[in-house]
Amino acid sequence: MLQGQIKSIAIAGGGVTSWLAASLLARVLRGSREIVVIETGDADTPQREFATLPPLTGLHTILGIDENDMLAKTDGTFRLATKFRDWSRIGGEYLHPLGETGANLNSIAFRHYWLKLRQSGLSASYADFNLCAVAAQARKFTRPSTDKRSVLSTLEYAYHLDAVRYAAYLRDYACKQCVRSEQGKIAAVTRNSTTGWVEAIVLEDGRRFEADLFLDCTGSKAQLIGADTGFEDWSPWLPCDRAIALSTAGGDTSLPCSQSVAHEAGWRWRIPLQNRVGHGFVYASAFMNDDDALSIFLGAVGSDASGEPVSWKFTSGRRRDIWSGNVIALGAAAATLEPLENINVHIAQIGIARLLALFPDRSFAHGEREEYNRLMASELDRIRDFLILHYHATARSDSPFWNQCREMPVPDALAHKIRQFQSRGRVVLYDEETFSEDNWASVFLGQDVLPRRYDPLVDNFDIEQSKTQLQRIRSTVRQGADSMPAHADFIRKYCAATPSHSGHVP
Amino acid sequence: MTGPKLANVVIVGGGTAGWMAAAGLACKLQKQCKIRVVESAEIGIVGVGEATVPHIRYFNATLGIDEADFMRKTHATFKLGIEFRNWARLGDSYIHPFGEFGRRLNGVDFHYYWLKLRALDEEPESGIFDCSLPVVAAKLGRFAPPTPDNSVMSTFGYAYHFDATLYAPYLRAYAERRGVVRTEGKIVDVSLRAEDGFVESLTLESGERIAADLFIDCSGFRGLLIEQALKAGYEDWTHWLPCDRAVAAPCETVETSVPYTRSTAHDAGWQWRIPLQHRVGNGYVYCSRFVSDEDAAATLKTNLEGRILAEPRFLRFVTGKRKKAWSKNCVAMGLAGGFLEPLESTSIYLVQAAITSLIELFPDKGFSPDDVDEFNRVMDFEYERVRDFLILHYHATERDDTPLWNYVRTMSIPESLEYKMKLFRDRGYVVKYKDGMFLDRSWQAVYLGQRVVPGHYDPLVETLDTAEIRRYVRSTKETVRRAAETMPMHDAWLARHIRTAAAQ
Repeated sequence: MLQGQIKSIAIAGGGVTSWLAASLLARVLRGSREIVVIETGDADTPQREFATLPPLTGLHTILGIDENDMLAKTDGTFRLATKFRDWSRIGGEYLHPLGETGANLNSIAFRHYWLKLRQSGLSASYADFNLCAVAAQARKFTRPSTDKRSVLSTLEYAYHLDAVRYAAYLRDYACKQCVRSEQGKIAAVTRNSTTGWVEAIVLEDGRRFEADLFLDCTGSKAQLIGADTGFEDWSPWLPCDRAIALSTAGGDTSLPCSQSVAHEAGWRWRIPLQNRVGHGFVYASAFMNDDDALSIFLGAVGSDASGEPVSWKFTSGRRRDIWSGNVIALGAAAATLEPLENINVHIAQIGIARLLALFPDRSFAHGEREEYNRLMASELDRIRDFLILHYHATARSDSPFWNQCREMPVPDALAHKIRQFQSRGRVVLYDEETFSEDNWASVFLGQDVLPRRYDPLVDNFDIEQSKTQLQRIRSTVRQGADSMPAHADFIRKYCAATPSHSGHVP
Repeated sequence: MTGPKLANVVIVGGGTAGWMAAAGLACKLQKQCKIRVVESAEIGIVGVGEATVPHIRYFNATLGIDEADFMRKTHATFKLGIEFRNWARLGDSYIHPFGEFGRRLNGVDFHYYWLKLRALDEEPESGIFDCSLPVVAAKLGRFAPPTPDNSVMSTFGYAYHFDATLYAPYLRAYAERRGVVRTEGKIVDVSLRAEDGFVESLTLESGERIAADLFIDCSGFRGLLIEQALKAGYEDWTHWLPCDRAVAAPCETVETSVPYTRSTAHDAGWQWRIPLQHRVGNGYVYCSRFVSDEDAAATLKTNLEGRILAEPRFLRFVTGKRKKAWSKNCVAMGLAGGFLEPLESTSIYLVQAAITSLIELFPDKGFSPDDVDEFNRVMDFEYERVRDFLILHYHATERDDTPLWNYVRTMSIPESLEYKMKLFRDRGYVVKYKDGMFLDRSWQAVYLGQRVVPGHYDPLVETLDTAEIRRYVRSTKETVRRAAETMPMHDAWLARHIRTAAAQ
């Protein structure tokens, strides 16, 4: 069996996805394989500031990364929620927070109490019962408590990071773990004439890198795998296909929250870092031309717009086979999606984690490819559905773009989920889901998908008693938030950006 | 938009399923609707000695049932797993435990490390079973409940063996205390509403008509409402699970009661042995194509350990499931919903899953098709995943000594199972899923017990050197052995915590 082992892994790309893969593989494989990263200059996207999902903190724990040090060196801040505006209707606003909302009372999901009491005049929003949401609005932050009795144990967090610095940080980490790095543009990919598998990457300067296993982290160009495998186009459901990004100088450590504001043909983001703020504009070229997009975007960013905007095109979708032969596509090479709900680094993370769970040997013959493709396809399809929900569940009728999104037929799996939620507030979860019941409920309710019925079991309890319980939860949440330090103070105290990394945008 | 609340629920049939449904609904919905059970003393209940899976503890806990009281009144014993004898080969034996095999290390599942040592011929074929605390404890006849810490004592669960003819009355008392009304009587007619085909009322032999908003059909195999009245249809799975009869008889206990069920494969099926406090339940599940009723009964009698306590009873069944367990205003549970032989003790679990799903999707008078569709979707998953797991026991065999074993060994199996088995055979990988019974560790136990030997294992095992792996597996066995040896004997535990409590 030993001679059949994968001995060498070549990772092509050079952005966050590559270095995340290199770091985790190096850590778990403990130097048992040769790992080289070929920095081809293809980052996942040109998006400089990005936000993450909570599981990335778990990956840092496996790597043994000191989170404060990492945030200081990546200009990072914390994210407790995302604020959505103008999605369900113009003027409509909601928070999609992390962590738990409310508390499970008598084994019934909290939202059913909220739904019932709303009918009798409860004015508090669903997010008012979520500590992450209330803390985000109060501009507070602390790490979760491990004491399960404390409301602070319901906290969960993610990050806002600088992609270039985060990639550099992971690069340092990986290189200390004996990962080699090389630079150059890919000139050719040579394949075995019998198997069709990749044998080597040839760079423009003629250098040749052979390996047993290749990881394609070259973004949507998918330079290694692209030619092999078809692309499932999701643009009928996710029609945005253009993005522009821009950084503004001057950070914002007050708000542990990113923002997503819908406009007539897409949406724009705001991601605050310690020393600058990232802005982006996503739109559908079928409904808005590039010049209009740029001027609307610049107008929205305002006078701070100092840097040079970068723009790019994309098509939403995923590879049909994410693992083909001896090549696995990771991150944007596997699935290209707009950064709505901050899923991009997470897609890279699940791709790497699944590779470790199904690690091949050199024969690639033990069913791992088929299972990997099955699992990745189903999880990516569930992520796709979550994004589609944001566009589809809308009452907006102010532009042709929103009319199309509102009226389009959605995939069956999502249609069933929407029907079940509308019908009785049930959240259907399938086998491979990135987003939890709480996440789905927050977005359904935030987008005004209001169930026709609540769980009848709620009626077992006296309405006055339920009101009191909800008031108690709300005040516990509020007191919890009050007890937390200001996010800005927390950052200053524990993870202030190191001077060499602050200031100008390189 | 929302319909008015249901006022009346009628449960047809008072066996284990009927009274579980009555108790479960009474616990959650007694304030909202009237619940009535119609049962006939003339129609016997199928419930033989029942073995269960750990989920039943959550059902009982939700009802607020005191464990010692329940165990005393149903003559229950503890169950740590099932021993399978003669399944893959004559002379084989393994235990499918309610628990883990060792712990993950460096992100790699424990069984892969063991598979490496096995490949090096350093481990006996059944060595991995020594890495499971419930297996080792069961073999020693020992029992103690798990602890909620992170120690080896937290690595298992348990269930019960009990007398099903006593569990139903136990739940009946519970349900009646919560306002459930029992009506004795034989149903002679079911009338459907002309406009939509919903069940309108039942007519009893006495002439009494019983109307309700929702009917729960727990009438057993015949499906009095769901099939005879509503024609929901039945999906037949006998081509995969060909056993279609059983013959059951209790016998005297001759040894101390062991904390596990036993399933012994015979020529044309298998025999269960369920140890209760006062007797042992036995039954031979067989395929009528390959053995006559007389021969089956004779085989059963020959294989009893103690004096037989009652004449053998015969049962007939068709393995499969109702195409729509919920149709119109009728939800079928228990044998009316489908039948899967009790090889992995799933009958009560499937009733429990149906009750839980019905409560989660409890309808109002509007009977939204959304609730019906979702219930049927969830229950289909439950049945299909249990089905695949049962087929695995038959199909993964080397036995070629009788027509039954030749048939099941060579039959084609569902694609969903084929896929799972291929991945285990190729690299010891267990396909996981969210909905449905049986965790990956159960699949591991049965694959390895049934001699599905992986050709390869996770290559990441090689990240550790062999000496380190050897130490890890050995220390796991040692920890398990020591923990098992410090547990009290099962009989002693029962005497101290269950029987003594009765005397007080």
